Amino acid sequence: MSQHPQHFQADSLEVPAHLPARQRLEWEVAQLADGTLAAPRRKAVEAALLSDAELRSSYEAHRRLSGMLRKLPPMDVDLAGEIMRSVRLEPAYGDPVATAAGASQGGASSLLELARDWWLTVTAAAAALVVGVGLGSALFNAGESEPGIAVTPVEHDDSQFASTMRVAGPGEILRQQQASSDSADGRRLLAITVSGPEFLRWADPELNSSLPESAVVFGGSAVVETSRELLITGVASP
Amino acid sequence: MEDSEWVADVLNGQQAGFEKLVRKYQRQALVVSYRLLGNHEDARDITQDAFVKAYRSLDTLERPAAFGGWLMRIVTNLSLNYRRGRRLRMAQPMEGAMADQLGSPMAADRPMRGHGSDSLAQSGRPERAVEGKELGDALQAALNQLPEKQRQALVLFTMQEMPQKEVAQTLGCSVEAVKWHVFQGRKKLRELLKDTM
Repeated sequence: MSQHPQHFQADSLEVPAHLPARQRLEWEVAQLADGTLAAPRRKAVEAALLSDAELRSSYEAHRRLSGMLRKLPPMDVDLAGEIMRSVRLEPAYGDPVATAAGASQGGASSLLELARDWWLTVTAAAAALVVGVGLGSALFNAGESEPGIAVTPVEHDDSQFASTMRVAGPGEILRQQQASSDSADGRRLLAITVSGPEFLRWADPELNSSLPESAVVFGGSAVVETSRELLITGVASP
Repeated sequence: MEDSEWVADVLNGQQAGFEKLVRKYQRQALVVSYRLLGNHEDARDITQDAFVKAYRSLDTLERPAAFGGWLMRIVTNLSLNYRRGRRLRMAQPMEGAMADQLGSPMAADRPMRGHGSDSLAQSGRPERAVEGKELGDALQAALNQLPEKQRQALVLFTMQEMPQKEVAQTLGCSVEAVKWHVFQGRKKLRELLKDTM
């Protein structure tokens, strides 16, 4: 009888005055089973349990019932998907972009689409211009070949761009940004794939309101450089 | 990982951390709500609401390691509020018929037999439920037979292991009343489940 649940904080017990002696004892037995019986009464009640089979049965019943109530029944229900769908509609903590997006979801998504459309139009026009210039240049300078695409270093916030950018790899790689270069010869391309909020910031008309300041072409690709950023609108195999 | 780490993840913008908390506590939350409400559909709704409310208020949680207990208090409060609302909704169209009962001082403690409970609980005969049913179902059927305060005190104190003082605050009664409700509730449960214990 000495092992009582320890998770309940024992409160002082005031036995209801109107209870007959036997019921008082039962009441105390229930408190003992819960571990809330006041210390001065514990020994007396434990002694009573030892000599009274009915009280022992009552004590065991209280313990069993508590155990049954605490035991979680098997439930084959998974609410995680539904709950997380609701949670994802809430703004994420510590994410001002998502918070702002969450605050005006409809407006933000249409703004994003507008910005994306605007930027696609601008880059497509620039690429067409560049390709035209490139073709003309290639016709003029037939026989000369470039190992890569030479670009002017561009300062962008804390990033330091490579003085020479080398484009490699097959297929079309659209919308990448050169972020930095840590190779000795500065010929390493570190590209950031643009998506989500980053794209929104990239295509922000405030940032990209001017036409590209310069452009070069290599194969079928066009590099558009502005004072703020360097974009590859398309890259073909060298 | 501990709850506190998942909470920290969420507060750092990683909502995936919250899914781990959901997976860990959804069953307990559902059972607590079900024990209080006696209805699976209501319990599901309350559980979902509780998690969303917990997410919204996560940055106010003082001890992230205590997420589980904090969540269960949200579940409890929502369940009790819902139950109170349900009782009001039930009382309105039956005002005249219930006038006599409401006059009784014990009216508030009468079980709401047959209202808002699952079919099992609506049978009103826990001993019937035992036949071919899980013990848990029988227990729930018996719980639904208890006066409301007794059931709530039992669920909060015994099942949720909430300190009696906190149960008293939650239910708006004295600590002695909580002890009495727990004692009486278990005594009745014992009678109702005598064939299964």
